[in-house]
Amino acid sequence: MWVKPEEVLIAGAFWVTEQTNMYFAMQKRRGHGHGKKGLASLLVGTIDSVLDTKPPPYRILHQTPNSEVYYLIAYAMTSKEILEDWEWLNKNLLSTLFNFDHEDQITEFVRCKIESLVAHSQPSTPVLEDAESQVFQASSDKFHRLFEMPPEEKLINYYPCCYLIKPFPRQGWLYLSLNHMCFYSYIFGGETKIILRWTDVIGLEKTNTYVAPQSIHVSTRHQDYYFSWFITNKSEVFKLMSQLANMAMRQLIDQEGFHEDTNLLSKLSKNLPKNKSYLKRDLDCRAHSEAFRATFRLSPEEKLDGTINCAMWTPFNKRHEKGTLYLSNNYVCFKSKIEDALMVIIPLRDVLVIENAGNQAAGESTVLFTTKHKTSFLVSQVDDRDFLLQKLSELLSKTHHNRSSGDSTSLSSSSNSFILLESAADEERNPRNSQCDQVLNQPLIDVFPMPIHGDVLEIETNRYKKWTKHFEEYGRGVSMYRTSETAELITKGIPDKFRAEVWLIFSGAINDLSTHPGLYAKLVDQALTKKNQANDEIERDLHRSLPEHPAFHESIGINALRRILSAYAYRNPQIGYCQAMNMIASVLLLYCSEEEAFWLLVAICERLLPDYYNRRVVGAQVDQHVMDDLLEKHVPKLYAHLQKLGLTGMICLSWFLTLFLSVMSYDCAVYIMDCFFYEGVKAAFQIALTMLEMKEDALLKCRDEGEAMQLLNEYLSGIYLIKEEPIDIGEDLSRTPSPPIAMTIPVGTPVGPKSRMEKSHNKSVAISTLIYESYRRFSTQLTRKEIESLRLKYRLKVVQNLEEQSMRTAMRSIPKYVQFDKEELQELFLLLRGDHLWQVACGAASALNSCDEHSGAQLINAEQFRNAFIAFTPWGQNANPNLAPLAFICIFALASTYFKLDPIGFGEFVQVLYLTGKADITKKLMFFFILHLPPLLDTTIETPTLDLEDQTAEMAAEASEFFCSVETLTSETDSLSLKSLSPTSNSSRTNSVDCRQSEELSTFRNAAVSETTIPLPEMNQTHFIAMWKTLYDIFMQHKNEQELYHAVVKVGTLLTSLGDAGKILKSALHPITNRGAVEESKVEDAVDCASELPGVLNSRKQNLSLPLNSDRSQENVGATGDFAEKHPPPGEFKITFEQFVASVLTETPLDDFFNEKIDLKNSIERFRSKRLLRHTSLSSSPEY
Amino acid sequence: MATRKKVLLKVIILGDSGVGKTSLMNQYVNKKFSNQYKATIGADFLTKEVMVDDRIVTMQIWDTAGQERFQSLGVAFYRGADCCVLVFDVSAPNTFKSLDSWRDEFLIQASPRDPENFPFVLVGNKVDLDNRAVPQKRGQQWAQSKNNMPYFETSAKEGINVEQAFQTIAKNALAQETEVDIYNEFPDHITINNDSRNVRSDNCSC
Repeated sequence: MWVKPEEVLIAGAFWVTEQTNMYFAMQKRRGHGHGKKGLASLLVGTIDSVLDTKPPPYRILHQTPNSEVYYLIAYAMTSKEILEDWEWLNKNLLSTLFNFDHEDQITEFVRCKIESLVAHSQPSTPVLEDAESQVFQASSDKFHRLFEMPPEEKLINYYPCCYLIKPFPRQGWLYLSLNHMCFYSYIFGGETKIILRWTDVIGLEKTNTYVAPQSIHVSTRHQDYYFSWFITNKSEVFKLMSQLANMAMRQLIDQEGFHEDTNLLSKLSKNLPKNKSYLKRDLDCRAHSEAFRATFRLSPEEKLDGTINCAMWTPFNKRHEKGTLYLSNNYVCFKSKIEDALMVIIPLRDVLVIENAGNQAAGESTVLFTTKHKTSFLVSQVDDRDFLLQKLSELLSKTHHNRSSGDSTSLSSSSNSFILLESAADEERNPRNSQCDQVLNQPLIDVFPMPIHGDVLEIETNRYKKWTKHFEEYGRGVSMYRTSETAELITKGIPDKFRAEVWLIFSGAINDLSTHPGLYAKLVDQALTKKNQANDEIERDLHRSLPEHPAFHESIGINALRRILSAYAYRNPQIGYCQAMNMIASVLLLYCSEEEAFWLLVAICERLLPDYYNRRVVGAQVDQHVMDDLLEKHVPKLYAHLQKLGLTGMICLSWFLTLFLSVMSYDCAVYIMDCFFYEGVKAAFQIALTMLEMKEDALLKCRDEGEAMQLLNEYLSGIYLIKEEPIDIGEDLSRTPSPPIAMTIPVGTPVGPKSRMEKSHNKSVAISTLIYESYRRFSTQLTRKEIESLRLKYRLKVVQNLEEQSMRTAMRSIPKYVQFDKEELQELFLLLRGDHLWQVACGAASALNSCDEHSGAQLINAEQFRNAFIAFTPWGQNANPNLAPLAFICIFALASTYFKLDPIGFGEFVQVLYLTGKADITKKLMFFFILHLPPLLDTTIETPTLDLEDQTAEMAAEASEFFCSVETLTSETDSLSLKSLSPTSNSSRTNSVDCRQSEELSTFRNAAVSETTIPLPEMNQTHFIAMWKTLYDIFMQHKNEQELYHAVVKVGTLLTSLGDAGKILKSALHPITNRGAVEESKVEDAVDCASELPGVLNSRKQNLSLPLNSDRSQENVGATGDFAEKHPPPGEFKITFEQFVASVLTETPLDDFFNEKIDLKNSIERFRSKRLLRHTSLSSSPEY
Repeated sequence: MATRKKVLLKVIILGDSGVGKTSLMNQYVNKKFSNQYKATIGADFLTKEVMVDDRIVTMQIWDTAGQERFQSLGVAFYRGADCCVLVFDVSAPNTFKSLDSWRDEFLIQASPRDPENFPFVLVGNKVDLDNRAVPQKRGQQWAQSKNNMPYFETSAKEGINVEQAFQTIAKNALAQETEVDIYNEFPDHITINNDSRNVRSDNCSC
């Protein structure tokens, strides 16, 4: 690769000159390549490694004989490249150079020439390559080289650090890529290499101990690693590592690969450092955007575009509040520097005008936003107003382009100009005017008004007044000024009339509602027609959601609940329907119209309680760990006690999942929901901690988990709406009756809300007091940031626990007769799982259908089966690699028919492994024999007719189709003459036959597994030939191939003659009654036949060896077909299993071959080391 | 033989969502049926004192969540269980099919000392319904195949057979509990007990 010539002062150090001529020298870096011998090379290697100088190992220098100065004109990663350049120089340049008189002219000419070459090659390089700086590119190359990573594995960043390991720490480089964490150090000839997958990481934390000071601790199932001495910011490294680990966890949860954001490439932001990798920038952006979305409760499409410091004018107190303005695709948001002082969200869809206000001469840089609701926002003290205006105009034109089909208005940032956007203004935006008349347009409390008595009414009216006043002062709708006053008002409760509105605003659901008009009605239409598991589950729970409310005693409430839940399950199949959603949805329906309730449910399930309701309830479990962590920090004594009782990690699960709706009466829980929509999950943590702390003393007295649960249940169900008399909290604590269970006879002890009919009894605490206390005690002690970082920490643990669980499930699915070492099997499982995840990450495999929907257990498809079969089984290891795909598809198809599963599970795979590799020889042979018996083979025998070049996966699919469709079988008779030969009359296949077949199958399964011998049916000629072909295929690569081949021919001949003998015999001694006697005579007869008819035998031998020599299965089939036609069988060709075993055992090579035992441990090691290389071959896409 | 001290029995009710676990528990403890129960999230429990063989025992009945995705979350409560009640809905064959997995999961998670002889009771609920789909014989066969566990057909709604089922549950749980008690109190006398089934290698409380 040509480079712009630059001066090099010392040409000799670190480099060895390989070729030279008058004007040029080609050099190689010392210590590069395999010939690293000698101290100098070692030293250079170490220096390069430690300092990360990473020069490309080859270069060409230009020098004139009388000059001291060298010019670097080319470098390359490989010697081939550099030789090409060298050749070019010799061919094109050297002759010209001799024509010059002065050396200065020569140098000048060379420089010009090379520069022009560089300039020429520039435009041809792809744009993407420009995205990475050259330094980074070199590191990336090194990363791929060192760790043999496939090109699609992209490096994100690398850091110098020290790997703490005995006896002495290794200084080196930590490479972080999307799926791997790698470490490399090269110190005085000693190489240290670590390659970890993020999905294997089970723990990641910062530690500071005596042995490992200031380090990052990474743990996997096998080992712990400590990295220390980070030169760059350690927390930055840690942040990136935890981000990547969490992405890996997400991959484990959702089975989704990472998709990079290519838009980022075109984005030219001025404040991003250029030396970072493009992916690092991408990841940083993601992290920032995520934080931004979480703060302002925006939907996942929003990407943070930039931030700018400024101040916002707050009309209610006539001040300029300092803070930061955030810009994203569709929103302009403001957040004050002082936490919670002010927050404003302005959707660009609402923006009517953005103008340049204020006196420019006076240096005021002020921007005024006016929305279509006739409210305006004044932003002053903008750092860089022109930039802001330019950005805003870009964003606005995009927004309105989308909305008004090309009618975009632009903004020139030079003078006080206006943008007028009317298109948005006339759009009707009232969500309640939904076209769909079946959908409920009003809250259920309007349909079923609850009688309100004196006190409540008064409080409600008071609240109503306060909120009306607040709206007047601070504005209404999504762009209202959100201040600490708002927060305070919310903690005191929202009046029923405003609940929907306020919930929508603070949850951000209002944005979804107004940007997706009519979507809900469409979802409902589609969802209700579906018949699926989710809908069944929903149906079962409709009456078990909020049974205490009259609205859900009638069809109006029930139908609305059904619609909203089905629509959600349809919208998000990842979640589908999870119990607890029904309770939340029904309360939402009480206070909101149906469509509003739907979007609130979306906000809860997807943003406010992330991953809570998915198939493995991951989010809720994570938060239980977070809760325990917080409890330990704030109420340590109680935590210790609860841990002793075995209640940690469980106690608050339902509280969080149902937002307290399952444990207290809904009219109290809605007050918590008020706070929850404003604060997010922090509100729930606050409340939970407060309740536990308030009951600490009583709980400490409990002696078992039941007692503690009972206590909490009583306390929770005793929470009431209105404080009747002022109660001191401390007193309340002591006064709450907490009788130990054993002392009383609690006939009919009420449990939670289930006994709400007896609501009156044992009042514990007023909800308002509880909320007040929760804010007083924990509002400042608990931050959202803390919760987030704890979530990151525990997500690893929870997800890996779940992985462990699915591994245990898989282990359990292995039947007892399989005698493998358990640890080896676990290794095998993890290996296959990792392999699968990798394929998903690369997009090579589709995640769906590859996992059992509920248990998450791993399933193995044909492709994986093939890889694993080759890697682990002796049959696979020695098989003919060219025929391999075909043969394996056959075996996979056979195996999947055998187990009646497609794809097969891990347990089945292990059984195949055992039956081919570890079982004793008779079992192995029996498995082999059974695989080739009808009904197994009948269906799979046609696979050889498929085109060899087909995708293997397709083959598997087609192969499996054969099992299902009998029609295909019978219609393709001409492709296979075997059919007519097959004695099991295929034509009469019916369901009853299938039934019989499955019975046969299970007998076979038992036969292969059980200790006692179960008589197997005899094998006919067709199947025998197929079996013999497979046999040949599976030892093709064996070291004793020759001997085995001879043995196979010999045994094959013998068996053929035996079969024929049976045929002759049968026709002679018909009917046969005594089977045992016949077998005896068969063998004798066969020997007789063999001696009597050498000619016939020879011809058969030919026939038999023909298929063995041929690579194409087609010929094989043809040959046998011919043979069969030439010699129409008078009787039936039959081989019994006993004959098969007996004759195979006569030949030592075959006996040895089938006696070979699999060494799982070694195979696993081999597979592990090979897998990366194999993946490289999988990839087809060029590097960039 | 056994002491006269108060005994606490822990009973776990397992089964698919909607088979009537909560109703059974409430019918037994509170003697009433309501169609106003909410779906159980996490776990719930009730206690009841009963007389078994002239002894007063407190039954702690744990009701668990049935939806599949919650299955792994309930396991924390399985520990220390004295009896496990498997419930299915006689009108829903699927709930019968998943009995095996509930039983397996319980045995693995609760890891009782003697899994072979751990007392299970099978309950086929909702016999009051007309659309019965799982015949009595199938239930009996399954129960027989699993170490001959007792099988009851109940209706939590009508209160049919509920009392009897729980009596058996209490009895079997107590039998289990008593055995443990003997060892806890007379750890030195293990050898005098000739019933080989009762001799265990570990008599610690873990």
